[in-house]
Amino acid sequence: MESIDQQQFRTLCDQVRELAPSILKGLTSQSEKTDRILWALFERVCTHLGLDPVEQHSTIQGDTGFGLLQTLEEHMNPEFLYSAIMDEDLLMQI
Amino acid sequence: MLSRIPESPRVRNRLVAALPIDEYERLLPKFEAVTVTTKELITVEERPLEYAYFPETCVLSLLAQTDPSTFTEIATVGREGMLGTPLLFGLDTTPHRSFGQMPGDCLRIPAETLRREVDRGGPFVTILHRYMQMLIVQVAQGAACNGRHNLTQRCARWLLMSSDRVDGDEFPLTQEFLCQMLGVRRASVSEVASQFQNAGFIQYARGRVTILNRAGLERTACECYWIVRREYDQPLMATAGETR
Repeated sequence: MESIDQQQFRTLCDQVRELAPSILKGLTSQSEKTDRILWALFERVCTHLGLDPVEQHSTIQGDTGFGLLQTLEEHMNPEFLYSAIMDEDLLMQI
Repeated sequence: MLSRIPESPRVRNRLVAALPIDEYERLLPKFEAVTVTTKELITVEERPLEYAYFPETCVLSLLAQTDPSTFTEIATVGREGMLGTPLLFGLDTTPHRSFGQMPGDCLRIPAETLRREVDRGGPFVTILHRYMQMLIVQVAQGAACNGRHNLTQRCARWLLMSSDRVDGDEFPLTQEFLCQMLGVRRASVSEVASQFQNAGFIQYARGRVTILNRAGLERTACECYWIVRREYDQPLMATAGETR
């Protein structure tokens, strides 16, 4: 099974943060912004893991954020605290 | 996503639903309906509070920073409560962070509007003050519990509290989230979750918890669960509202 480590995840967060202005263009609500950013990150995490994001999302009940978190829990190796990275490097910046 | 307030006769947030009918009709247009998604930052430490949030179906988590990159939950807020209590006391920032723990619907009211309501007084403010006492009990009891009770008891308490807030026996829960909520390592959480599964109290699969034996969890939880639960079961107003 493919895996993701802390540094790889941080790199993906950095990529999404750099693209954030275009990803968020035209959006006003914080909920939509969060959802769109997390989907962009989810897509990259899935691609890194060799998973189809749409298929992966459909197998995990819940919203985009939960789908991302659960995918990380199932594939991170070694374990790391992904929330701290995601919150500070990405979600706090949008 | 913004939308009109549902035209149902009553909203699900307990604080708003408890208003006397005339106050309910006066205040409801001041709220707007929003959706909250998982991980959505609702308030950020030391940033101005723009709104107060009244959950309908979502659950919000209030966190305290314990070192530069670590946050620990100090309170959970569902449809029984509201987020933005500093506004009741004329403050416009908080040292705490909050985010969407479980996605769903929420009502929110602009900070300035809430300030005017506080100045005006009346049943809404009485209800919000009553809720403040409930929140203080939750936070204080949680602090005492974290210092005195073991992880198994605390985890059972947290699962019961979450179940109460979603009105159901199944809800999403990642292990890291539970670590953050209980302020412990992942390995410790995994061990307790396994204990509960082996005892038939819960089923945990792909980040979803299903409570199978509530009575078992209630026996396992410390008294703190009931102390907080009894506080929240108190009426919000002596004469009005909640049976509407």
